[in-house]
Amino acid sequence: MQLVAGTLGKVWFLIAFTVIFWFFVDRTAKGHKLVIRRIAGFDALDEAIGRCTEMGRPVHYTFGVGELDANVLASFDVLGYVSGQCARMDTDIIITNALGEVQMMTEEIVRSAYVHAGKPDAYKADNVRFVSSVQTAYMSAILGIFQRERPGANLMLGPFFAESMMLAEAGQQIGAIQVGGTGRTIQVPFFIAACDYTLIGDELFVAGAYIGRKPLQVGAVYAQDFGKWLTLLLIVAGTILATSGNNFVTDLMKK
Amino acid sequence: MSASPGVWLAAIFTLAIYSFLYGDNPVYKFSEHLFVGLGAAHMAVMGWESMFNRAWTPLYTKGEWWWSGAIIGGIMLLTRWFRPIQWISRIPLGFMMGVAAGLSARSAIDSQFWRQIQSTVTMKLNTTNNIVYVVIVVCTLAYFLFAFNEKSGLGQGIKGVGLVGQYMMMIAFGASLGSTIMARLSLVIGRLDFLFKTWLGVLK
Amino acid sequence: MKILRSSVPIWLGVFGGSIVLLAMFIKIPVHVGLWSKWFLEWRVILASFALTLGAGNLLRIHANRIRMKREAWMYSYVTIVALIGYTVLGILFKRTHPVYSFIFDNAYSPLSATVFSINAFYISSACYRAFRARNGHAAVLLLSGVIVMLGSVGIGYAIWPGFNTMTQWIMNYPNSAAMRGMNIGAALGIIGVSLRVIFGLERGHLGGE
Repeated sequence: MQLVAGTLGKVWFLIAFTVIFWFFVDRTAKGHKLVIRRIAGFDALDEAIGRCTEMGRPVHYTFGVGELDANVLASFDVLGYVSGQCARMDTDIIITNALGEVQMMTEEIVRSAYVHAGKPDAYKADNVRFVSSVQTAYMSAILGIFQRERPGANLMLGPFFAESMMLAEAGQQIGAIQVGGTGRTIQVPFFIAACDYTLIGDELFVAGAYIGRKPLQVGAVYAQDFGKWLTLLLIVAGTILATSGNNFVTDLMKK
Repeated sequence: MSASPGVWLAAIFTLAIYSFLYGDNPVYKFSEHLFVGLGAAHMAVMGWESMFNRAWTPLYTKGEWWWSGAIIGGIMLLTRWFRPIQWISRIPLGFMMGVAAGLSARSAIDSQFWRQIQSTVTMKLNTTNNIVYVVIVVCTLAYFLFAFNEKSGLGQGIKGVGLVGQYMMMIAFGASLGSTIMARLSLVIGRLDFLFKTWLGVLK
Repeated sequence: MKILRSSVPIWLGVFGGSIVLLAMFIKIPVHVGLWSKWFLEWRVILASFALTLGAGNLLRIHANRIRMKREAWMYSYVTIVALIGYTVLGILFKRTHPVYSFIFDNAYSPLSATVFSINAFYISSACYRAFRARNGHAAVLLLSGVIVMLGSVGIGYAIWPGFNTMTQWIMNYPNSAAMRGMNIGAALGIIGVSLRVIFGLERGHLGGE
């Protein structure tokens, strides 16, 4: 087996990340209580669903039109939770999709959430909708859905592109409480401008751990934090050394 | 004024979509539903062509057998339409998710993580701008630390540094919004240009 | 049968994900790179099949809307006719057919461009609201946004040439540095979530716990 040149550092990082990940999964599974700081965007989910229940309006959930990636997977954790809550509170949830494969996975998640909530008959297949994989057609259809079905909450979590601005502002105009979040950092400013709560970048990827507190997801968050501490250390040490003419960290990262 | 039926049609659809800015109306509803139908059809045609040209033709004419995996997987996806064997569609779905995760991790490790750190550690702290840059990166990253007790001393410290990072992110967001407004306005100008020049011919 | 239903999809995901990830690091054995290439190409073909299913879902929902006479049901006929008609036209006569091209150029394209341009109105109203300095964060957002706006247009330069320099500085330092910090954080999140799938620990997307 031969490694591609310049990837040794990345391999070591991945190994360390994996070890830390399993270490904390094990600790959480054994009952050690691990803490995660408060994230307002997730706390707002119950408020949003509760508001819809009071007003008798549906919740709208979208992943945006981006391709199937880690953003979508993180968003699945939130969708599972939100659809379960909607099932328990007898509130409709409309999910609009732009990808065929995400549509199928979404059907599985929502149906399963209704079954787990003890209300399999309340699941409405027509509310899990494939709209369009064409970005602008998707946008125009959502504008229509907002005007005609008037969701009380608009939850936008996933890999968004330019549709982020229009969806968020259209939701704002119908008075929906809005939570937006994406790991595509370039789209975050638009959510900041138009949403009540925004999950910035990495905050979206903490969804499963924050909402579900499952050991493997909490373990992943701790491994992520390990990566950040390591990065901080590399940056501080690397820049100080580079200033004094020593390129140790730079050379180390090239290996 | 243009005499081309195509230009007239395009102008009518342009106005139909803009009519939504006044409120939902039958003209918009018609255009929206037409667009959704055309969009789905266009993507279905592109999908069919992609399947035919990229998988079926090489398999059938060149004997590139590995494409059979994609076609079998695709047929398994289509079992979704038949309730008793619907579960078969989960097999290619699981595969798609795995490949997507592998691809996501790959690009995140390389371009989004490693190279970003590499570009930062080479900075020398000998100018104010470089010091500002490094401090902002550190503070912003500190905002994304999650696994700590907010009430502890360390937690308070991380929160304080993270707060500075939050303000720095607000500067970045404001800058992005400011520059994007200008870019987006040019799109409206493009449509108005079509209406007034190409269609009505009132502007030269 | 239970293994086929629940475990095989997960293990296929583990296999596919691992190969694609390992191909980034491993040069030999050559299978890894080759399989990774195939898997990534298969993914595109599978997505095309999935799109057909999406179109099927769209048809079903609109047919149900007509059947149940839900709000704006009559417009669902437009979607159904456009979807079926345009698909048949494209598959039987190819996209180069003059009617296909005429519809694409004079309906699809202007509709698409106009919907996208509506973004300008929405971004303006969103920024107006966001820029109202309600708190410290909004004030910082406003200040940086206004400087960059003025620095990007001629009138800003006419008011004060320094807006240009300030815009350059904001874009090159605070904006770039904060984006870098966010990107590094997001990358670690992506790695964490992706590894959960590659380790076979995620079942949610297949309806599991």
